[in-house]
Amino acid sequence: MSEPHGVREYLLAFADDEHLMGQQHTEWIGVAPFLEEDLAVSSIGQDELGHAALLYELVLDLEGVEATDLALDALAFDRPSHGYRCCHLVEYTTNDWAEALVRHWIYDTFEAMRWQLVAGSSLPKLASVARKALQEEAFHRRHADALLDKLLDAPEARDRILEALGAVYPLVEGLCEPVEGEAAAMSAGMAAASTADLLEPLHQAIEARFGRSDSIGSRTASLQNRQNRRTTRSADFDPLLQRMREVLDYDPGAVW
Amino acid sequence: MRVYEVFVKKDGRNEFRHVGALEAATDELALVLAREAYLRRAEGDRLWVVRRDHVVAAPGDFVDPNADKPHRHHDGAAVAARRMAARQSPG
Amino acid sequence: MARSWATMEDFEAFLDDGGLVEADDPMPDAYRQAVFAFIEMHANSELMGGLTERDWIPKTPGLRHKMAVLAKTQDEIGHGHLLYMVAADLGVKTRVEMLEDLFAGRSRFHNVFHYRAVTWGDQVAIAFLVDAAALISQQAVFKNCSYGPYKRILRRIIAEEGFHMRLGEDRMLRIAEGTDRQRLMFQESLNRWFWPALQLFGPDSESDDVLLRWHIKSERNEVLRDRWVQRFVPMLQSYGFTIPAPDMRWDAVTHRWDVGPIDWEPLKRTLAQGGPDSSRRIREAAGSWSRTAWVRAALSADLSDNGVADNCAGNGSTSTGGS
Repeated sequence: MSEPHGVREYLLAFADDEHLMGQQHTEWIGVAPFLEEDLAVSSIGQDELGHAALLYELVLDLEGVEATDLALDALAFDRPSHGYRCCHLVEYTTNDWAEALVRHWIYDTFEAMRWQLVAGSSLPKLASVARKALQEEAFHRRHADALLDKLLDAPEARDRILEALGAVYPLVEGLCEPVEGEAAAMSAGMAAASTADLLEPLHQAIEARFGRSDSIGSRTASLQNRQNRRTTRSADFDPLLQRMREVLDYDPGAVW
Repeated sequence: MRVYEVFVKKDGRNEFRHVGALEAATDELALVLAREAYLRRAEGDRLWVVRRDHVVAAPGDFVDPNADKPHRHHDGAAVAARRMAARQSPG
Repeated sequence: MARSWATMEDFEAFLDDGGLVEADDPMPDAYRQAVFAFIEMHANSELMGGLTERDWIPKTPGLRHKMAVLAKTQDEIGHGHLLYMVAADLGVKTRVEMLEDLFAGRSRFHNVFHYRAVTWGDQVAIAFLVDAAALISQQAVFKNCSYGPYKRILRRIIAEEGFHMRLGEDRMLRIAEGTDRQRLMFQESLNRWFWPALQLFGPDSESDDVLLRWHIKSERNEVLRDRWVQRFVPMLQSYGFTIPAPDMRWDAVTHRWDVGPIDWEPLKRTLAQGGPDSSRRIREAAGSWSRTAWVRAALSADLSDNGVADNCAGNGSTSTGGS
């Protein structure tokens, strides 16, 4: 596995996760539990899409392509589904707000760790994106924590949150699954450690946040097989991509 | 939820200004939610949220008598008239 | 400064003199009801506007483009939030009551948000034509509005609408300079949305409109509508689009566009029966509202030391005034 290929795969996995996570947040506009929360979720979604755009730009840099909107969107939207490198957690489509909140907390906890790994990257642009992203992530986590602090204290809400954790939890392991070629990217100084190394700290963070509950009793080992190094998509992905591409497909080549 | 009043300060020159209110369950949520409700474009660099029921407000007519204290607003009219007269009659 | 007005004449003289009413002023009840109803409808319209755009946001063609429209719709929801807060302080309905009335179909909002955004072109047409109409209305209210809290948040709302106008025109420009399919799509959207957008201003103002008399509004509907026509008809034409108004003519004497007679029947029908698409949008929002009731209940738990916000009888300048 050559270095540039590994770097590209590594960046693409990061970018695709951010892209799809941002996309999931956009589904809550206008229908979050209360108006103030609507505004907060929307901002977080914008931040994640922004991270995705910056990471896709780095991929285009690598390919020597100028990062115009058209080139960026071709990369973000115009790949066959097996060309995406996102994890199944961000593909998971739900209209259950407890699940959305739990995923938001888990994803952003993981994301902050992931940005830390590249804060000293040999790719100077990636290191500088990381500094900006880490500032934003501090807010994302503070938002999710402020809600969970209160909700986990209320019995009915606590039950719902833990039930949601049970639904989302089997997908957590896939979040930390590296792409093929990550080792090459690391040897090129891309990141300080493997994405896989984040699994243990993430588990500890989840337990510290939600407690040792039955929901997280059984770790599933099967997901890694199903994700196959992030090359296979879950059932939710194709409808989601189709939705994201609907207008683009209406008139390929058009600039909107 | 509780109502919080939101105050924002723009830069070194300006005072904190009341910009609106929001509802939140805790002080921490009030801060977090205020940022995206009132400072999405960094409309200020300082943020206060204050529980509405913690605001100590004077009754409406509390300040009224002080609207009629002309001796605290010396307008300098007599001095100005004297100067004007002096300028018009040189020597 | 505390004010009280012995008679309606005194109150109206105060308003005519440019006086600003604050939430804790002992305003006449008719004024309170009128200003509340006006702000509530504005709040509902902002929220319904957001819900209209919501359908298309996940499908926005482009990543940076999506960030920009997300920020725009966020502003609309934010305007709803600001307006519901200000309306609640009038003590007529709580924020929850206003939302639940909207979800139950018991309250009003601007006619345009009853219709369906059929294509992406509609999304752009709404953002351009309808936002422009709303901005013209809001600027006129802001200029001379007698209710202080409303006037103050309108300053912020109008500033944000300025960003939206520029975004909207930019998006329209890309379509105008785009492919034949894009242009055709937008022309069809224009055909659907031109008249509803124009009717956002409502029929000509009645001569005894209390909203004008009490300086809640400062200009007559027909004046605002004409301002919109004079500005957007030539602009749309300059981009090569056709105004769907067969009787439209240029008046060489007054140098103004006259769009011809306005058919108010669709508007009346919409207001009487609800629009073709608003009930679905409201149903979705109401469904999510009830599915997330547990969140609000949990967040409101253990706040008994000062009760829920909407019942909080404040005591400051921002507080609920008795009626």
